[in-house]
Amino acid sequence: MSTATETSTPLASPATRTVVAEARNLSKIYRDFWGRHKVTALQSLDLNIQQGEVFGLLGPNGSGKTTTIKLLLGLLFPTSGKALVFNREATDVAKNERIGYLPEESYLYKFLNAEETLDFYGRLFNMPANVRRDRIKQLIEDVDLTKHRRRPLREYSKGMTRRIGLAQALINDPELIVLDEPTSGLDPLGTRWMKDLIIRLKERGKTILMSSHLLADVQDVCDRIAILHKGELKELGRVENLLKMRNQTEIRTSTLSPEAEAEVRQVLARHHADIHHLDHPASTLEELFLSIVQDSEARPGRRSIRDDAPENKAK
Amino acid sequence: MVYEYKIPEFWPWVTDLRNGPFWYLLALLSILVVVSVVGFLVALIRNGPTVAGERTYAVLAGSFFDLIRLSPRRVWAVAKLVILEAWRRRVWVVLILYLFLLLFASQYLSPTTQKPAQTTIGFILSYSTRYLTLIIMLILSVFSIPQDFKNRTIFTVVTKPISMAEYVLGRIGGFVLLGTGMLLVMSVVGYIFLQRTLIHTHELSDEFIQEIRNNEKRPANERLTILRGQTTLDNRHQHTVELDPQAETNWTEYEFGHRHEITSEKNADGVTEYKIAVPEDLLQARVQHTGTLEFKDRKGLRTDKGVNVGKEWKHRTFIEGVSSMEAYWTFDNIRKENPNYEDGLLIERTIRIFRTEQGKIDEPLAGSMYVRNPDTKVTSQPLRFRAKDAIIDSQFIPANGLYIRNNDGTERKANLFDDFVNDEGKVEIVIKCDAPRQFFGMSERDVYIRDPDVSFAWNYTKGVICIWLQMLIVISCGVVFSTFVSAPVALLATVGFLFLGLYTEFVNDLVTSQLEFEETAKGKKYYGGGPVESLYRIVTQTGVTLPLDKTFGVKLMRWVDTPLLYLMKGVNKGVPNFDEYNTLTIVGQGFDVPNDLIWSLTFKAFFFCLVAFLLGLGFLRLREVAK
Repeated sequence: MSTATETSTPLASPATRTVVAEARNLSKIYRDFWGRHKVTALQSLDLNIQQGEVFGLLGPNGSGKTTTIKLLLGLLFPTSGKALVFNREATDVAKNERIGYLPEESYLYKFLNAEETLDFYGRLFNMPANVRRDRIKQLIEDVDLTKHRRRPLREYSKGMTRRIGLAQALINDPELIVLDEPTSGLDPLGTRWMKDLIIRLKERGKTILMSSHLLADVQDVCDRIAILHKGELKELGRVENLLKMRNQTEIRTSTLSPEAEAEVRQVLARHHADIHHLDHPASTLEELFLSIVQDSEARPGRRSIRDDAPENKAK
Repeated sequence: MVYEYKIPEFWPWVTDLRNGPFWYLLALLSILVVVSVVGFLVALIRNGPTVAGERTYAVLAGSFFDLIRLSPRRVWAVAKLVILEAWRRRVWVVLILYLFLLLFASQYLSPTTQKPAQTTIGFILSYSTRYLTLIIMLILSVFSIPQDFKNRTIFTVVTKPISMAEYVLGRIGGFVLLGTGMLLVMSVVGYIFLQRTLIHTHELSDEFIQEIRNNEKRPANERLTILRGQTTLDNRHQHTVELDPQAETNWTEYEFGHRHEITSEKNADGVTEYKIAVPEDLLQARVQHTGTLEFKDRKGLRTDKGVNVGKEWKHRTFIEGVSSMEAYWTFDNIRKENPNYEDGLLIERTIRIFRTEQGKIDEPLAGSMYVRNPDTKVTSQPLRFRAKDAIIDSQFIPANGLYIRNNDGTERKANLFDDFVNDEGKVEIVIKCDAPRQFFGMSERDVYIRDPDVSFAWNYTKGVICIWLQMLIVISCGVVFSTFVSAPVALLATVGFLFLGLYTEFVNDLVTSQLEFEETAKGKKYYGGGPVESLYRIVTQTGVTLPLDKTFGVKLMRWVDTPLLYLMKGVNKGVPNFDEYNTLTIVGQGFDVPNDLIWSLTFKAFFFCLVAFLLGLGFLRLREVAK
């Protein structure tokens, strides 16, 4: 069984940070028409997403990250366990008042134009006409679609579709924004724009739950991540702590003279070099991710245990 | 007449809580209970008792809260989306197709028809407007929700604070609004087309008219001259005319379902000019004041039915000529104060004729009509008429033109209201057949008092309202099926359901005849059996009336058949009687569609729509949006 014990110190004590979304022993088994077991998409997942953080779900295809998002949004019913958002059942429609969702593909009505799209979603939030009008204008400017606001979405490029998709997710100025593969299909500029936006949203106090295959993107914007594999939680914690290599020491200095460089290994302390940074070196998220997947393949059904994790060191 | 049965008054029915609405409410509760139990059992098998209980509760409670938190803005958002989607997918092509149909309408309308109004209205409303509207709405409604699931556009909708109730209602509402708009356009265009097609006039000039009767023996100033001729050929027909030159107004012959008034005046040169007016009786909406039909048998005793001559009419029976048999209608609310009746009663009849002696097949048969007081049984002199088979004819009963034959053989003048209408305003109209060995056949609505006509435009609108109600049923049905099966399956299911709706009476008769066994001295007698027995008889080529041996197999078949028959009966009850909604024939025949019928059909259609909406809501709540 996967647990939600984190490999790092939490952002703050539970008393000070509110849990926005929570999976409690959450499982999902897909069945066929006759009720026969087809596949276990998610198994006993325990995690929580706290207010104001950017939380990333990582995992290879079929790992259960999209299933987790769908369960939290109420698009799927759990086989067992609970999915709670804002302390409400995920199937409770009322929770959607405070949620914005950008799906993996922009599942929007292609026959509508940008204004009509946002107007439609705005009405679903019961927004009065004047509020809706102002909000639509603002969002269309924010996502840089002012020139294209009257064109039907079927004529939009992939990047433009993602932008209008994001605008519909933000129409209600949500507290929790769920982004499924937000940078997928975007060019480098579009990816940068999206990551900047996520950071800006975080700065405005929004909570963001995102899933992505693009590890560098996750590393850039996420505060905490959960790594899933074959429906099981393999790793959960703050990104910088997860990436820290505690069995090595890194010394970062200013440029040394050739003489000093030759002697640095033997006489570092005696020469009193100007030490700018002294810490454990970090690997990349990609390396961490691959090592977890390999470990999981070798030892299926077990939580990934890294030798350098602080709690393992303590033992 | 088109209506073979009495149409119940709506308000007494709807305010009688023990009958109409109560049973509908009971049906609604039964459906909800059955669906909930089936849903629970399915969940029980698939997920175990705890999940099944939780899910059933969640669906029921969630649906209830959905209903009480309906937001018009959200419903309208979905409805508007539906309309925009259909419009941008070029649903308006249907309107162009409709115009094309009208453009070539003359190809489908027979120029020699004796019922031009019925044929044209049938073409415009029934074959063009109705079928186009229903087919397009059927297709749109069954493909809409499955398309939302397939394209996953529903993901971005249901993750907003919209309930499934609002979503389903918005879908149904959107299609209804779209269909209403299209129906409105088609019916207005159709009405203009109808007027332009049927409203016409002819010309009559001296060169077409011949003197046909000239009594030479009379003095010149007393000679009786009748002018006979033909009008010009207009609107693909012409009328025969017989003119009395002395009369101010004349009429053309009643042909092709109408006649024209002819007025004449001499011009400055002394030449008579004839003016022919627009047609009379072509586009009309006759209002029937119907009565209650009873019979007297050959012994002169009261009975509910006449003779069955072997013709399979459910509501129509026959009386024998020159016998004590009579058919009599009791009409109520006949008051002198009613300005419609102060001069007398205009009776219209449609008599069916059954001949035991052929003679001339088209020759009308003699009959007589009497006016009778229901209390005193005082009867008027016979008012003779000659009946043609299935032709509507009329006879005016003047308030002051009646006589009563005294016991001594003398006659005295009588007044309709003073002598024949009782204190409760009731009067009896008696029909007898005067042709020996021939039979008159009639049902309750075959003889009626004709009240002043209502506006044809309003009657046409009532026909359109009935199409609208059918559309409501089709949309509800399409949407509810599409909430739990794929679009093609939903399409087939809806078509099957509606097809069943055309034969509800047949299915009901079939099932009832199997469930209400005929008791004989030897026990129960079966004809044909239920589905299993019928299948057995088909396979073994055993006739329906041939009794089967009472083996264990036969008993088992009947044991299985009984619940199946009850199931069929239950399903059949839930299917709207689609045939009942086809009031276009009545409009075409020139009769007013009774308001009670419209109200009752509206009630039933909205009830069906409500049930469909609740079922759709339940099915969607039960269903996972993602896969």
